[in-house]
Amino acid sequence: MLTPDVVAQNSESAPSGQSPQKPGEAKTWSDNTCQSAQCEQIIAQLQQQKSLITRELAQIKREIALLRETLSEPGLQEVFAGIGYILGLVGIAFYVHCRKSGKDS
Amino acid sequence: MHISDGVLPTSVAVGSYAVTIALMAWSIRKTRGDELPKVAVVTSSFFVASLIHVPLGPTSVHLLIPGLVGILLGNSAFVSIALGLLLQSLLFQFGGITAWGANSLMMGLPALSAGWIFELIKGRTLFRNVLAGAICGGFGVMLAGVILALLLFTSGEDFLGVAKIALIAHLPVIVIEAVISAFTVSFLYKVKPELLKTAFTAAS
Repeated sequence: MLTPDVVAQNSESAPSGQSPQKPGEAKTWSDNTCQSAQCEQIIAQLQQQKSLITRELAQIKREIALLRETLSEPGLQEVFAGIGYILGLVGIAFYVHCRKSGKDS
Repeated sequence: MHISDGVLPTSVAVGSYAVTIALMAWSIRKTRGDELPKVAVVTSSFFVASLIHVPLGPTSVHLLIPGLVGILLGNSAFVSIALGLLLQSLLFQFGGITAWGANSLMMGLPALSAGWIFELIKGRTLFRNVLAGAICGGFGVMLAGVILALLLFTSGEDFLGVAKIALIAHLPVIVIEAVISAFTVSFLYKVKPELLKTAFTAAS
């Protein structure tokens, strides 16, 4: 697989096979190769960090989704609210019934 | 087992609303005034019952108790379940508001059927009452699953497939509810048998 490391290794191994003919030219050529090798290294490190950060972000997103689900679960407040509504409505109906049967008797 | 918003076609949703309101009116008329405290307690129990989860592999299903509500309340069961479902939809976000009519039919009709069947087969002995309670408790959930499949069939799903999945997924619920109904009927028969007299016999 053509990873930046492999590319860096290949570009590093190339100049060792060459014998420096003219000192000036060879020096700049190997200089450029070294710089590009360093660039490759830096690029490789950046990509490694990027993959690490992406993984952590995915983990955080999963935690947020789980948290949202936990928060939206019906809590004790909703239970009491519902029971209150039920008792209240049926209580009103009971009251009306009592008044009707009170008037009849 | 509650249907959410947007699943059912509009005609089905509106139609089930109409039928639900008609059945609610009928059920309210059949409710006797001195039964109202019992209705309140059973409705509260139904409302809270869906918070009890039964784990099923990766997910979980929750208790429904339409059968027990039907056994205890008889004809009043429909308004009790409709009210419980309405509050569940508003407060717990269980099921959509537009699907309230369909959900009420899905839970209310099994409740009424369970009540009628319990009335038919309950006999006079403790054993027959408990057996009838168990059968009606389990039958309530089964009928709810079948009606769910019917409703989803109107929105284009495969009826048999959905029915199979719903029933298999709720098999533990069916068993647990049969047991709970049996224990409840047994306890009430021994302690306060008047509570088992539904609106049918009490009115006659």
